[in-house]
Amino acid sequence: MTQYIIRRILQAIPLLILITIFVFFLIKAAGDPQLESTFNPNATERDIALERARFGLDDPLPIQFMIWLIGDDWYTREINVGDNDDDGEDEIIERSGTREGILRGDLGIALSQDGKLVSTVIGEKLPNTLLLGSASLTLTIIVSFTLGIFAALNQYTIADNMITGFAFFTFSVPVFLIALILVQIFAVQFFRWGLPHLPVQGMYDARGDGSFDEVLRHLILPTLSLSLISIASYSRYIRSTMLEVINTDYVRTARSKGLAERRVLYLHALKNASLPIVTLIGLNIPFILSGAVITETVFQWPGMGTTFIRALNELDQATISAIVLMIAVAVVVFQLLTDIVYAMLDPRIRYS
Amino acid sequence: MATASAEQGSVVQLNEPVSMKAETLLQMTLRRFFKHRMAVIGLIMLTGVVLYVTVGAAFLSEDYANDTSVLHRWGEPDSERPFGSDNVGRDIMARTIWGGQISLMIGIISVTISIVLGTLVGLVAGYFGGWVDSLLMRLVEALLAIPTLVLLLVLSRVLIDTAAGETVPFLGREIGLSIVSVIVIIGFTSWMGLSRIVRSMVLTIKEQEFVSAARALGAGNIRIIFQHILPNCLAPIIVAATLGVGTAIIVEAALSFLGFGVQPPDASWGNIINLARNDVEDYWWVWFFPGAFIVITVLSINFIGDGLRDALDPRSIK
Repeated sequence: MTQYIIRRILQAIPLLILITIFVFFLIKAAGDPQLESTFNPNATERDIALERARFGLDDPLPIQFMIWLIGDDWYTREINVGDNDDDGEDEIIERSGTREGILRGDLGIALSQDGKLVSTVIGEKLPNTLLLGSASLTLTIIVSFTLGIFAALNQYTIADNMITGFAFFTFSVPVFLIALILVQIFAVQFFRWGLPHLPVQGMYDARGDGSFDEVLRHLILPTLSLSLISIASYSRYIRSTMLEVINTDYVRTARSKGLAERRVLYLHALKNASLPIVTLIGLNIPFILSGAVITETVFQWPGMGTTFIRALNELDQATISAIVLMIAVAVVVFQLLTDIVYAMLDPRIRYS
Repeated sequence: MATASAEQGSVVQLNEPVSMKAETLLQMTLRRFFKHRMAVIGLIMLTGVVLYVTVGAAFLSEDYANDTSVLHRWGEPDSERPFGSDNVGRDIMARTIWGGQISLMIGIISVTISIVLGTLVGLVAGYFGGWVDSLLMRLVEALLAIPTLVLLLVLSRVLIDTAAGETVPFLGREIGLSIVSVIVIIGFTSWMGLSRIVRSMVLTIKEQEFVSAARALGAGNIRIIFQHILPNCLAPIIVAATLGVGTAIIVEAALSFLGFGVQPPDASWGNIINLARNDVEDYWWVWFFPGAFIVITVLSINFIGDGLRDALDPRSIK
């Protein structure tokens, strides 16, 4: 087992390297916005040269990549700032690097967030996204297990067909449309009908007190719109795994030895059916981060999704690359964890 | 398999003694497809949508679809403009017609790119194995680790500035370069799933005897791959292609909704909805009608894909 875990971790390393190279060149392809956006029109040639050097923009790409990874605070550059005093010789300034590199946790400065550190911005926004994500995950698991098991036990009845129909329809609706429909019903129409309606913007009321209650009300619609599509796909999946398990020999044995139906279903069948479902959920958790991009934008939820869109709009490379990298690393880590947990849970699986 | 298209159209006579060999795979698939009630309903709905965006274009011109009018600003649906007007007074009905052409076109062309790429990568990785396989599959894993939407948004943002304002002629109309860039990036970011499916099929097919036989007869790698292995992978490729069009339409809509997809004045179902993003509460018709077209189209494509999957599945032969 330990060997298996070590081997899986070693396999993940080249993947992570490939991802970092990929993300780096993706961001580089977007050009030099730092210069365009931060420079005032009065900047001299000297300022520009110094600023370019600070971000290492004149280094060759492989060097830039290494510096992005491990930083440049151990390295002193000789910067040619041009001939400023007209003595016929170019002025050379020595500057040591200031960056520490992403491997040491220096994610750079977020230009789209008033120049805060990217790590600070992530520290502020990530909890909000995790709140939304975990609310949605909890709702998804509860509802899809209920629907999936119910549909499997009542195969081909009207209720089962309705659940199938609901899932099929939901698959065909884009997330943002689900969000807009929910807003129209629960905010706009409920307000017109004089019913208690739900807020649609942000996490808090305009003059709210930031209480738990207030956040909860703001959480309902984004959670619903984030969950519906996963509920549709999970409940389909749970239905089919449940059906598979119900028809196996050991379930028949459990029944024939006289166990109560509840016990057969929930102890024998569900326990075995859960295994592939746990894998599915584990693999999907990191994608909550990306799934939230659209939902957060519609509801102006102050999380990673809105931060990402804002960084994209202002071409804030540091924030974009940090978020993309964070999600990719999360995906790899969760793949690893899921594999390990799966191998530990299922005695039939042994990797030697 | 190879004769599937050759005998297309010939009628199977059940009372003839030779009927054993009469039904080709294509005929069998079609027969079973048309027995699938939802698939036929999907086909009818999709035909309706295609007719709407083509025949409708004959009644409402593209100039009219892009024509702004202060008088109609945020106009509610009425008899003159059944779907209402948007923030600059453009007729939403005309825009769902011309934008529908764009959305469908993006769906079809980007899936063509992704199917060709996914199939090629899958065939090469599965057939040659070894380091080629390892390299390609690591690449696939790395790409899959970045969620498609995030990848698309970043790529799209990179291309948006270059594409701004440029147009290219296509099928008799001038379309913005942003549309071309959306097609290309969706095509290049959606092939990974299929390549894995094709690879795993190739791994089993290439061990079978007809492949050894072909090799013994002196067939080269290219011939074996395209003549013998590819035809046996067609079923999942066809299903993936069909369902892929629906996914691509949703992805395009999401990109355009966020403002990173098709850029105005060109319309697409997604970017019409984008206009309602900040005024959801007041102008329901701006998102409702294009949204309904997206749902109807994707739903019917999913029905058709489901029908095709059942019809092509050898395990469910009746």
